[in-house]
Amino acid sequence: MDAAFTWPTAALSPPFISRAPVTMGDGHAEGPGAGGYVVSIATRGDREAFKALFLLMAPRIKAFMVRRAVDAPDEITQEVMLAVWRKAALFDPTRGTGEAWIFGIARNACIDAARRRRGAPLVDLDPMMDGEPARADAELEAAQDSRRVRAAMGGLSEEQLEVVRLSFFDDEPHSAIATRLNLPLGTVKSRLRLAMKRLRDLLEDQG
Amino acid sequence: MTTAHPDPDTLVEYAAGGLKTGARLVLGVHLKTCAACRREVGRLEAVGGALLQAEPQAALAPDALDRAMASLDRTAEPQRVTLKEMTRGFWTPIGAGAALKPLSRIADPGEKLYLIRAEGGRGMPEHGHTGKERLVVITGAFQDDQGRYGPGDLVERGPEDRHQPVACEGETCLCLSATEGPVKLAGLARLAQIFLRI
Repeated sequence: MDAAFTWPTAALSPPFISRAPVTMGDGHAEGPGAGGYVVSIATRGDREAFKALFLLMAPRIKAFMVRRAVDAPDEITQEVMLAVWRKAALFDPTRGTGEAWIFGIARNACIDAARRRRGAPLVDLDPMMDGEPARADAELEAAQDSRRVRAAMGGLSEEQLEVVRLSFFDDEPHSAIATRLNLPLGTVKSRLRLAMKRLRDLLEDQG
Repeated sequence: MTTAHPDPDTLVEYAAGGLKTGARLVLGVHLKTCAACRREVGRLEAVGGALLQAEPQAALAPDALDRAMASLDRTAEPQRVTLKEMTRGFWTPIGAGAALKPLSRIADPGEKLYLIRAEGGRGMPEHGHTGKERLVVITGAFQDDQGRYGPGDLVERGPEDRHQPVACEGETCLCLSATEGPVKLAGLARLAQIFLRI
């Protein structure tokens, strides 16, 4: 595995590249988690909760923006956190974790930033966030529990994890990932597809 | 009831943020009506969330938290163009009872995005593409050689496919289509395409 694609800190590496299921890689997730803070913001406009959430997530969001090579990672991190504050009432803890929800906001902020840069109008990016239809299937998805997801990701092979990470973090079209890993496009697609299937199976096993 | 769904790969690209804007909008119309694909995107976003959680902490500017706290009372949603607004304005007639509206300001570089409208029983122009087309039905229904598609149904066609959709009787069919690379229209529509540069 190319050094550029290994996990960024030594402390995090072992659980993610080992095949054994991991419980938790780092300490913070043992706390209330991002979702609890988002709910406090939504129900009480809780500024202390926002502060705590900022300290928890903003450094990670910035790391994500740096990885995606956006122009102004600090600015976009601010935008993401303010969007979290504005949209908190739309977060539904029965649909997924706070981290997953914030990931979606961070992803959309990257898209907005690219559109602003070339003077294109912003568009509605998340039809699932704006209301009723999504609530109809509100059910606790075992698959979205962050511990389960992270444990399942520990069950992926190194190669599988690599294509998953490249897809999610480096904003690479699958064809660019293929070039970068020096693999045929079909191999990247099938590897990603297998990784996703394996994740799904691992999550269902635990459920 | 949605019956035609995107590829699993397409959902991964959607969740990860790798799809171009036009294709995202097409997927968005489908996701509004399709609980199964919404659940799948939810699972994929959970993967994104877990990766985000595992990120190392980047150093923030020293005043980052203060700036955010000071902005809480005056932050507002930016203006966004809705799909409904995109349907307004000039449509280009293309054959009898059918029209196209290019959304070139909305599309990303390297993709073409169109709204397509055909009255019941009317054909949309026969066409092929140089790249992949993703098309979703917004209202009404259409039929082609591979099936019948209603609201929310999403069809992904490769560059090799040529097809001629026909709107089903009784209702105007409105679709949103995103194509990688230019669309190759046939016959008169091709002439219109040349002259009108759509």
